[in-house]
Amino acid sequence: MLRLVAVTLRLGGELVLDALTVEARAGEILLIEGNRGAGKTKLLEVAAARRQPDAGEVWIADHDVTALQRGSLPFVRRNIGFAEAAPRFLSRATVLENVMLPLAARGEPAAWAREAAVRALGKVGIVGLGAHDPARLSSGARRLAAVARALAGVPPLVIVDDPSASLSAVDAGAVLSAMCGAVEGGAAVVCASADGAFLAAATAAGARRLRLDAGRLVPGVGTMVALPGRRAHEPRADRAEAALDPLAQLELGS
Amino acid sequence: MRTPATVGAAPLSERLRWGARLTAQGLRRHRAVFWMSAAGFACATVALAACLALARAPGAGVTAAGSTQLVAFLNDDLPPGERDALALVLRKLPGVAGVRLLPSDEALGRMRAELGSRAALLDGIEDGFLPTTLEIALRPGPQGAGRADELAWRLRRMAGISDVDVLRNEADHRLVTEQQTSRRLRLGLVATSGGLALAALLLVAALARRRRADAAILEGLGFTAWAVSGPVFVTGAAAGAGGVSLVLLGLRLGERLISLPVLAAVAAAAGRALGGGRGQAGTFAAATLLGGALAWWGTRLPRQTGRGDQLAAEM
Repeated sequence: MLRLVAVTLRLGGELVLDALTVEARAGEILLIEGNRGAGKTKLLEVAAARRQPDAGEVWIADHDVTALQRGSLPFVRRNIGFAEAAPRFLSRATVLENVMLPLAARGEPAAWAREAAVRALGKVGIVGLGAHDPARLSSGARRLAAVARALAGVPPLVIVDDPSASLSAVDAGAVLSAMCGAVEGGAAVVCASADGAFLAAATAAGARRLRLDAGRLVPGVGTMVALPGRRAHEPRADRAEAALDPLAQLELGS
Repeated sequence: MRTPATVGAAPLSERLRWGARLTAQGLRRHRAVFWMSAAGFACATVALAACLALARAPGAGVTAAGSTQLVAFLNDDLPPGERDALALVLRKLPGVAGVRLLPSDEALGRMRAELGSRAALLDGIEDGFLPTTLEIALRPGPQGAGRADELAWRLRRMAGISDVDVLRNEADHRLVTEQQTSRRLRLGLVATSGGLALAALLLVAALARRRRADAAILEGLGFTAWAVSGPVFVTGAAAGAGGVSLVLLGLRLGERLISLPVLAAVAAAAGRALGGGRGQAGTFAAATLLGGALAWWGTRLPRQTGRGDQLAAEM
């Protein structure tokens, strides 16, 4: 679904991404881990067709995005659910209206779009906030709303930057569960995080991990975690929730 | 749940439906802005109508009819040669019908004649008592009598001339006063319109930032440029059309319902100034297009590049 080939990005003369080659297949979660400044966010922006690399190719659904004209980019972006690290919403519009927007861009019928948006809000546990103004929500609720917007309608490619930021363990578990649900539906999910607990939980749920350091992939990191009785890259929503649920952890500990 | 599949261009019917929905949302979300824009267009239309009404008012284009004369008092020490040269220069000025040099003794003789039986009062006065003057007759029209005050002001600054009087008959004097008042009113209205236009531009600039932010979000989600700017254009056009409609409706009602004849006449004059039915339709169309274009322009300005807001500006 997503393939980055020898992608290089420079910002202000500084090398941010150094000839990265990464692939995310349909039906898997690809975790990009790394410290702050490792280039995770820039990598996601390139993958989401928000930023043009200086060199390399970005293939999304068998289309080389770097070769497209600017006018064609919206048709690529509408197939990508992207939750930014600092999500932005239309002001004075409700959370539900914001979550419906990607579906509007795709030209889905309004009734179905509404239903899908409510379902996406329900997956991250904020269906009750649908009528609220995003500007008045806490940062955690805004993050959940952004993830819901990225997942609404289950686009083929979902990209989430720092999904567990300012979230409780329960909410982070809900996000991971929703991401697993999208993967089970056939989407490819790429997310970047520096949160150890979230990375561990996602790995336990079957996510593939890549480590990024100073714009380069760290060799030897990026193995798939094989879960008993499941495909190597097939995530499990139930395990994801359990891994981040404090009550479950208490039970496991006892 | 649907199986994820890539989508391309949406069907036209759905695009139009979402366009209408997003336009309605935009009107609801930015209703204060909408009404402020409409009010701005209404004020600009009123100012335009008032300017046109004043410009087309009876007498506005008429200038002093005639018999306007300037009398330039020359310095006593001006040599005769320079007097003649000055008269020659003045004769060549546009709007000047004729220049006559009136020597001091002739001026005194004229004064004696005007005094008649009381001319004896001037007995014993020396010949050089009155200054030599230039009598400048101005042609009727905007280049002549209409510029009498301006010419007088210029002559007062010329070497060899100590002072200048403007002589008009009563009707011309009243006409000039009315013209001056009308000009001041027009200038006031133009200044007001300019102020309103500046305020509108500042408002547009302030709104442009918000519109750009909205546009960045929508384009990031996969909306095409047309899908982003279409609803914005319609909203702006509606503000322009709404503002002008309010004014035109107000003028019609004012003409019919206001009992004060003066106000009714003003409303009627403003309505006529906008050019009757065809002109009003033109004003309506112009405001609609201008409102839409201004709003659209707000979304098209170059954006600041920042995190998550690259939008492939470099592409």
